[in-house]
Amino acid sequence: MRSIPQTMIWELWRHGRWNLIAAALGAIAMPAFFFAVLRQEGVVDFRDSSQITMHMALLLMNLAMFIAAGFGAQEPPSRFYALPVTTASLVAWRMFPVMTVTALLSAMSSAVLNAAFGVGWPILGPALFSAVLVAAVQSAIWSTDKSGWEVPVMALVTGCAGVWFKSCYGAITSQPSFFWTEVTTVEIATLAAFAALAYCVAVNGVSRARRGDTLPGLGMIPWLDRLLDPAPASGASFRSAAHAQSWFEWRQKGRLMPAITIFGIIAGCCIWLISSRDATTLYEGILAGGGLVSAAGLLGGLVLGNCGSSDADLSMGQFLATRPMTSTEMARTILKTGAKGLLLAWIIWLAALLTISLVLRAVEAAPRPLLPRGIEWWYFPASLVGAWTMMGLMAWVSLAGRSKLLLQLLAGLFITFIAISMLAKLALSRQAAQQFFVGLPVVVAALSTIGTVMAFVAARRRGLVGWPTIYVAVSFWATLSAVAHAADVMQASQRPAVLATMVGIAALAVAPLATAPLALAWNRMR
Amino acid sequence: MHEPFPSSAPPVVDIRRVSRRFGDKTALDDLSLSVPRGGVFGLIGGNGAGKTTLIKHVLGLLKAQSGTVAVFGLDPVQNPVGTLGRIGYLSEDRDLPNWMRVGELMRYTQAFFPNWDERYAEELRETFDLDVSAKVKELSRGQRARAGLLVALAHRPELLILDEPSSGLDPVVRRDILGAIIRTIADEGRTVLFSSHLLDEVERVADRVAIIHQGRIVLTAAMDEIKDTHRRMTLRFQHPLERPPSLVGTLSLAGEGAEWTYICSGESGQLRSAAEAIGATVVGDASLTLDEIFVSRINA
Repeated sequence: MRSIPQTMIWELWRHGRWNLIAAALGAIAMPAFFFAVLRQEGVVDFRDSSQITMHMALLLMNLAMFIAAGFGAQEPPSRFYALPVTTASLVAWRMFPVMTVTALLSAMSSAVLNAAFGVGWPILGPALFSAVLVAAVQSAIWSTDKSGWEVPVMALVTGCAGVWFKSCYGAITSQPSFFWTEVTTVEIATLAAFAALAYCVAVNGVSRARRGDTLPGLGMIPWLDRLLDPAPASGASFRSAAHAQSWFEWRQKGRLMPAITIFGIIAGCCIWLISSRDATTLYEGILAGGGLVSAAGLLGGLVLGNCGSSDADLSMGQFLATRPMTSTEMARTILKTGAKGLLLAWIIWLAALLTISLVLRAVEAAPRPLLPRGIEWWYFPASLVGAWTMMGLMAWVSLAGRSKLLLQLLAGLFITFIAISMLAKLALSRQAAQQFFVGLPVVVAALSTIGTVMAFVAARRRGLVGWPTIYVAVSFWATLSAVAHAADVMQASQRPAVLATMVGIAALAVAPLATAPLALAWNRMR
Repeated sequence: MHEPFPSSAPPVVDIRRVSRRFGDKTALDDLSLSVPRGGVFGLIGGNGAGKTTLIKHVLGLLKAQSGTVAVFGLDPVQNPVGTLGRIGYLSEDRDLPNWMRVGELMRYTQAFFPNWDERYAEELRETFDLDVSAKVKELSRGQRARAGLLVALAHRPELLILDEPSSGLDPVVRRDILGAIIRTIADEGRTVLFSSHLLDEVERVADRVAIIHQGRIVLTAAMDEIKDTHRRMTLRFQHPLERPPSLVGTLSLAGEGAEWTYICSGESGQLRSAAEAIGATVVGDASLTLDEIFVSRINA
């Protein structure tokens, strides 16, 4: 390499080319999939104002992918501190290539979608915004690295960016009303000023970090730390190894699901305050939170199953692996922690729903009937079982401790989902496609049930589960299936398919009892 | 009761014909090793020689792809509680939970080991100058090593496994405290298996040594025996020689003309007789340091 900039750009490409290519493909494939399906269904009108919301959502999703790919491609600036390069130059050549790549990816994905579907997405504005946002995020991270300021500053940057972005599509507190097709000179100048500011802040932050100075704190983080994590009373011992391990797991992972739920409720209320302020919307939003708890179970499971010594490394650390404890006991502790956290999260959601319902009734703004059409009592236990199933599935994958496998599995599932959907939409008649989509969950449910049985057989053979666990699993599965049967969930015509699906979900709900110890043992003893 | 070393009791660790591959790389190659009960067993080898892989097999963190591993007569993979409950382990990467406080780490670890000696743990904490309320993430590398050592020692394990224990420790702790602890454990009839790059340290504390190279054990013997059976002999021949005749057990040789220095394995008397047999006069005969023995063995 002839120069430092060349070297840094080469490194960005060499290290992150596959991430960047995958992000570019993902940014085109995902919207393309949606538009292909919607066009096939004949339910899309690209002139409709709802397309603006869809554009914004997909664009932000793409932006998140580009930023993740860009960051994944780069090493932190600290790796270059010992090299003979000025901080200004270092920051510039870490920042500008990623800004350029992000802007290009954004423009390219919009241009391809415009050409393929005629969606009429704006190109210049979002591309410039992407570049500036990535610079602002880099600047915030580099300037606040390893300090208590990281989260508040990132929240501020994200908030400001969100407000700016929304304002380009209409008033901030109402539905978006137009595309950001015309980029004014003032907007370009403002974005350029933000980019320059981000650069200056980053140079200042990196310079400070390079000379070993730390960011002055307000004392809030140590105060929060003391509040949330007080020094333990001395002398009190744990009753048993299992008790100690439960404490270990809870302290590390148990608070995540309740925290996500509380954050979700607060964020939801804030968004409602800014955008709607309609009582029914608030109530329905919190009610829908039950489904979001299930979705959060995916993240909860990923964290719950991570036994690595860092977030990036899922392989079990030697400290944990050398605990004189069986893999079954360890897996049981992890599952118990997950169940406890999940139950707490679910109770918090239920309490929030009840509180809001009571408040709205007290001010006579409560929606009637209490539950929207199509949702009955089963929604509440189903949200809990759904969340548990999601959590169990992800915990199993994470517990196996193979990051590469996890990525391959997620990518495989995503690609299979898109491929099957596209195939069914494009290759089958409407009637055949309908039958296919009714039959598909039944096949998946049958495979889930068979897979669960196989997991129990394998775990039993390895001595990782005892007969009492198997009896509990079978009883729970039978109870869940019976409850699903009792719930009048669907129309009579679809009832057999729905029931079969429920039986499959019930099997997945008990599967972690076998898959967790199997995966953990596989991770622990390689 | 302190048994004589090497003990007549069954070995604490018995590894037989274990092989392990990671992709194309052979980490352990048909390796056999027996660690007798009692005493200090030093495992030495270069980077990537297979020391940590071997230790992970002993701990049951890696399954032998072929061969068998027995610790206290048990398979550590099949019976982790029975084996790990009797082992104290300090890992090379000082993998401790960052979020814990030192006091919490002690209480947490105590729960797993019924033999945990609270008084001894407190004594070690004071010796290592560790603050109970300090978080592990706030500890320096040396303090982390001390904290790791504390929790490995406080339950008075039958087998103490130390993977590069000196890494991160300052010379005072390394020489005075670690050395003293290791010797105390050995004197109590327990077993210490430790790997190290610092051969002078191994030489100072180990009773028995195994040299591992490219996944194979190239030498294992008692320290005294190793030192007795490796000599540096300087021989003088009657006439200058371009290539001196070989001597039994030669590992390396250097010199020119009529005077050549041999690094040999063998006892002094035997080597002297052999030298006379090839018509040479012994002008120098010295024992070797472990460092020299290691280098000559690896390069042989």
